[in-house]
Amino acid sequence: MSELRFNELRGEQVAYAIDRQERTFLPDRGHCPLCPTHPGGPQTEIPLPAFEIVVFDNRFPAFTAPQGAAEVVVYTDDHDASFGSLPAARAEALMWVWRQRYLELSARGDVEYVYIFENRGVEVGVTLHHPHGQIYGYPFLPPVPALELAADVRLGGCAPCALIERERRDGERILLQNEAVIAYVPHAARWPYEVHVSMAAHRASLLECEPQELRLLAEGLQGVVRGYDALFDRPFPYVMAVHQAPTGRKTDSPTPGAGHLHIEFYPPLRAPQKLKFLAGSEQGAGTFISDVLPEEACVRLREAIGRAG
Amino acid sequence: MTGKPGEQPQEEKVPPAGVEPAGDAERFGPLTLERMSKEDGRALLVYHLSEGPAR
Repeated sequence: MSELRFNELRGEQVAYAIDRQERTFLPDRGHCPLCPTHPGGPQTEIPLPAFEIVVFDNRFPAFTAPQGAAEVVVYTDDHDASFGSLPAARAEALMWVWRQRYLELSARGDVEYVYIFENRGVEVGVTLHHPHGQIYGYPFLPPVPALELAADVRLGGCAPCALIERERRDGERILLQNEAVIAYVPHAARWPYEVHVSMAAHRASLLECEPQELRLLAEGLQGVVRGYDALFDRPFPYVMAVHQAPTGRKTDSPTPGAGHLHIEFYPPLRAPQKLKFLAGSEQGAGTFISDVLPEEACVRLREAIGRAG
Repeated sequence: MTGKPGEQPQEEKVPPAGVEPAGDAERFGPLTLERMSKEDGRALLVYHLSEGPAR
């Protein structure tokens, strides 16, 4: 079990999961733990000869019951696939998996925030290349979702709703839209090619989405990821962070339902071969300094999304 | 085999080595969920897009 320590200077929890130091690190494809188990081959995490989507408890968890959860979501049994290359039906199905996991983990008394995410690329620290994401069930409300709820208070209502309205008024940072989803480069993006994909209507979580909205969410996300891959004509590293309502299980947390489902992408590339590092200003002063204006990033990404089709 | 004329034998679904089924399949949206557990006791959730488990 991980140990939590409260960092007084930062006012935040730090989790120590020392077993993770020994976790599997960039194995060759013949020893990928997320591939199916083939007859005569090594036993993997998935003892099936084929599969569509599987979820299992992380072997090297950051959080475990009774202090949270850590799960691995494997998108496909195809080692060389990516979220962007999934057939549309599979990407839509993944939204249902996310929804089902959110429902189940939210019901646990030891989970305050269900955080669905994907780390893609060694540039963000990926240790397994097989296309997958993760789900953390935090036993506390982490700082970033807490800041978003504080933004609701500061703006006098749903902050993502207000930001969507602003982006629609401005128009110049919108990447793509469909009947349910809007994707844009934020006015105050911190990463060079940061993108937010929001439910256009107020939906606190995946549980409030209609079936067609889940399909359209998958479509929007894949559009962004395919555009990313076309931008520099290479697989584009990113962190994909799904933000939605906290569970409200703990007595000192906000009311369940606060929050607005949206997905944030943090890609570290600022140019084809150059990374945006979190260095002195970002780490020591908490202030991002970006080399790329959001409006310029949006023009390039729109063109890339168009090329990707 | 029940012995009735013309009846096809029911194919018994045997899980692969290393997993144990943990109950009946659940359906939601376009998916069927099979709950299993791995040899070390960790939960394994297998989601199927098609009708029922793919074997």
